[in-house]
Amino acid sequence: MKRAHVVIAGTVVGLAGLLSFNSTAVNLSLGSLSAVTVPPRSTTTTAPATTTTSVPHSGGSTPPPATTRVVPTTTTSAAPSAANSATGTATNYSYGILAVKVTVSGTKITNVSIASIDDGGNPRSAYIDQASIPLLEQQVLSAQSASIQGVSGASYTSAGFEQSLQSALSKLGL
Amino acid sequence: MVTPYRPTMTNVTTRRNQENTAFETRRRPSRAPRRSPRAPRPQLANALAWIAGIGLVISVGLAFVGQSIASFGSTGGWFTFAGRVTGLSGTYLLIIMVLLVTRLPWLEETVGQVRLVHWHRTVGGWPIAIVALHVVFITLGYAEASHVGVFSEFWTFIMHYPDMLTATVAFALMVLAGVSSIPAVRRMMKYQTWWAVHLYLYLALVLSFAHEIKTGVMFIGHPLTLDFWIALSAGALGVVLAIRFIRPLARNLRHQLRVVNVREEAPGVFSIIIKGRNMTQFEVAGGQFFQWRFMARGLWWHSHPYSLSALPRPPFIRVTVKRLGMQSLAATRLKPGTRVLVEGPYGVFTRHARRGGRVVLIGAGVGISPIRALLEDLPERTDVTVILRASTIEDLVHRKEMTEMVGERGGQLHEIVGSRKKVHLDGKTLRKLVGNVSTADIYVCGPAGFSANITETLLRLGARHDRIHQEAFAF
Repeated sequence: MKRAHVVIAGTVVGLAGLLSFNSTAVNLSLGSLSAVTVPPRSTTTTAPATTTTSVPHSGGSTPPPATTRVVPTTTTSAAPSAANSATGTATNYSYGILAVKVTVSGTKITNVSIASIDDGGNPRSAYIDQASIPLLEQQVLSAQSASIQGVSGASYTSAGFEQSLQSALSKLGL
Repeated sequence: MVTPYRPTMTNVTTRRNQENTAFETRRRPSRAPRRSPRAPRPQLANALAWIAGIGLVISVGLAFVGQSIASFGSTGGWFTFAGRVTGLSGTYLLIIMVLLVTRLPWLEETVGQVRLVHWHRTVGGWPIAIVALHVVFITLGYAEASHVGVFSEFWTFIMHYPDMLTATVAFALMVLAGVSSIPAVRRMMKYQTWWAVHLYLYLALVLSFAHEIKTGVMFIGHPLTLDFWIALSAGALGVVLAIRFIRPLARNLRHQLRVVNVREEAPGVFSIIIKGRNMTQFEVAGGQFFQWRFMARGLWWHSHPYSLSALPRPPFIRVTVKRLGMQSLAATRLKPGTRVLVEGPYGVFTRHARRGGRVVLIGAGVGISPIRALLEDLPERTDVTVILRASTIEDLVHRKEMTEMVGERGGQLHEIVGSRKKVHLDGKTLRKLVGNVSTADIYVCGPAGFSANITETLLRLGARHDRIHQEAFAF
């Protein structure tokens, strides 16, 4: 075969190019969401849990390690007080484990955020979570409860979010 | 009227050197131990089939990992599930297709290389079609769940999911190989081109592995299923490397085969004598073939299946080849000293296929070669009838040797000579030649049309279907 050399060289070059292409993993930057109208008395200052998970990627390497982001939180007592926050139980939502942190002022939910989320490095989950969690947080602030609609296409994340949020609210006596 | 045959000596090395005569005169020592591959083991082949089936069930079952009733009802749930089932089963079946033609000794010794290749060709396209469905379904499912269009979703795959560009390229290679193997398309290209494209399937399987374990939801966070899939993939790769590369390499290093002589036995039919080291350990049963790779220009990159036309006479072996296409033309012009690499032996066209009793050997044209080797491999007390069919008497290759061997065994030899138009080997003639065949093992080797006709005639004469053994001559 006369063209063997060309074919082999072409394959090697093509492979080198292919393997050097890096996909950019979804950045799971989950900022917290605060209610727009904040009563003057509330002193809600939750440190935004903006830890990004960019997974450096080179073709053919081992799967990225599971990423866990935890932000130190404070759990408050049961009695409702002026500005209180609590973190719900870490809930297994089938594609990982998440915990929701909620801040209330009186009986009003003023801030909701993800305290920790671990999706095992699954890019599919990361993508869905990235898209759905901001929507869930918005829904909570609008509904002012844990009974929210959920996001279609993210039923597991929605369910887990609700569950963790509810446990956080229970800790706050709501 | 038959014109006398005058051999043309111009292109052929016919020096009657010592080595050439040595093969002819050296008798196989009757008491020396000769290596012969073991008899078929049907139970082992059956066990392998069972394991393959169970593996398929497990692979499809993996699609249910992490699946719940609710997830079916979710947006894009059904498409995503279908995408997972097709991805898992398609990849698994592709691995099976590769293993079918890896020439696993456990399979080959029972089923035979010819049948394995036939299965591979018949079924081989379907796993590629299943993988194509996987691409469609997964894209549809994910697109629906994310409420975006399919093209947008596909773009997301490539840009944001690990190893998806690689997987896409792998898929393109699979489609190319699949399409090029459609008979109508294959006919339009040279064999070399088709073969090169087909080889890329190895690369495609290796390239797609990464996306399987990095994006497959049934693997991430599930160590058991991940272990299964890695074992399956690595195991298949290991088997291919061991049997297609390491084993032949070891054997060729041990035997160091080289061409010593090429001789024209009949018009367009050449015998090639090959010499090697440690040839008493060269395993073969009469009637089997090897894949020969002659390390000469134009021949080295591709292997040719040829039967031995005699049992080994250490240190020599012999193949007899008919000059057909470009490849065999080059083979008949080999220079002495050319290195030869072999893979094999393959084929179930051997004495192991016998049930006992009478043996009938029928060979036509260059199909006489394996018949000649098989005849030599039959025990001395065998009741054997040999029928040789050729257009002219010169085309009956090795007839002197066969006459001798049949004489030694007290059997019968019939030579049917003449063009196809003038001479018919029909039922009446055949019955006269072979008599009662209902308890005989019959071996047929020749061009496809000839074999088919003879088999049909034999069945009508009362031969048992499972005791007619054929060697297909080209695949």
